[in-house]
Amino acid sequence: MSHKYFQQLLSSYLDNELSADEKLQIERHVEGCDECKQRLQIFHTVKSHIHAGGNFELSGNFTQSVVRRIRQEQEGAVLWLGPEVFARRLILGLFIVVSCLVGLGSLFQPEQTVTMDRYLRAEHQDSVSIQVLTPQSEISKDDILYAAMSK
Amino acid sequence: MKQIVDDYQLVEAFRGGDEKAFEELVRRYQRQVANIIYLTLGNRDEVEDVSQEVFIRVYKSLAKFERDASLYSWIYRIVVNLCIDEIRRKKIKRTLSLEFFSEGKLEEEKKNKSQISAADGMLGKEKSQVILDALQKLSPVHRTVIVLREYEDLTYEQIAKTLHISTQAVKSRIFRAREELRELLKDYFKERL
Repeated sequence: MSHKYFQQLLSSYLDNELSADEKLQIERHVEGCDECKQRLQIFHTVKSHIHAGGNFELSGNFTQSVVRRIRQEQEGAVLWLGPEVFARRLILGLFIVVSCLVGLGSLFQPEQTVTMDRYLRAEHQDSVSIQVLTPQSEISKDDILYAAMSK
Repeated sequence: MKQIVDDYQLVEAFRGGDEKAFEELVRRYQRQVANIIYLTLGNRDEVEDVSQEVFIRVYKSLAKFERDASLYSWIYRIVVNLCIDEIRRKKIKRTLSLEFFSEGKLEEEKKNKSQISAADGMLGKEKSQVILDALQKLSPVHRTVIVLREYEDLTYEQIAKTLHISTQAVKSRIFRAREELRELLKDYFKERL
């Protein structure tokens, strides 16, 4: 097996992720290979220094600080809920007011008469109705009754 | 094993409304969380804030935690994601601020840096610090995987579960990270091994 092959296994060897057989092969190779020996030594040193480097100590009241920040965020969310609910209610209120105004407005509109000339011209081509119902004129129920009876 | 059962019990208690259970989880994991953040970000000033952010995220998502994962790997995943976000955010910030640098200022900065590293060498800077500095030069992906391996001593399988990648990917990332570190530290170790 080549030197490169052993080089690639060194990392897994360090992490104890090799089979017993592979471990033995590596150990035999490293014994006689200065380059691999040095590589392994660097890996070991880096490993131990990173492991030892994790010596950070948080402040004594860290847990309380976390809880405080959570409370603050929750209170902030509650405070924000106020305007949000207000805005929703405002939109709903406006919708109701506008709907009422439209409804009331239609109640007070003058009674609309039905314009029938286009319909009658298309469906009833008899001379009497044409005569009675002049184009574009507005007609009442009586006009329609009269036109029907005249026919 | 008992630890895992206890973690689950705490999660259940928290879901049942016991806020003290959450505080216990914070106390249990705060040291590991802080050290992973410190080793990954390499800046002591940020550790407290980022650690708090991690536990706030834990608090918010604990209801969604599923029992098929271990709590530590679930928390570590939050830590790693937050650290990677932080590294990328800082990178963008640094790139943006560099755009305002004049040529002269950049030259001056380079000169200062080389003077500092020369002085550091002369003073025989602590080996640990040199290694931790080299660690900061790795890509975020390599940095997080090597920290989980070297500091937390997680197995390839545990790292794979934490990062949601294959064990083969873990093996390859660790190998590359170590090779990169060796390359970065080659000159330093030449005289010291």
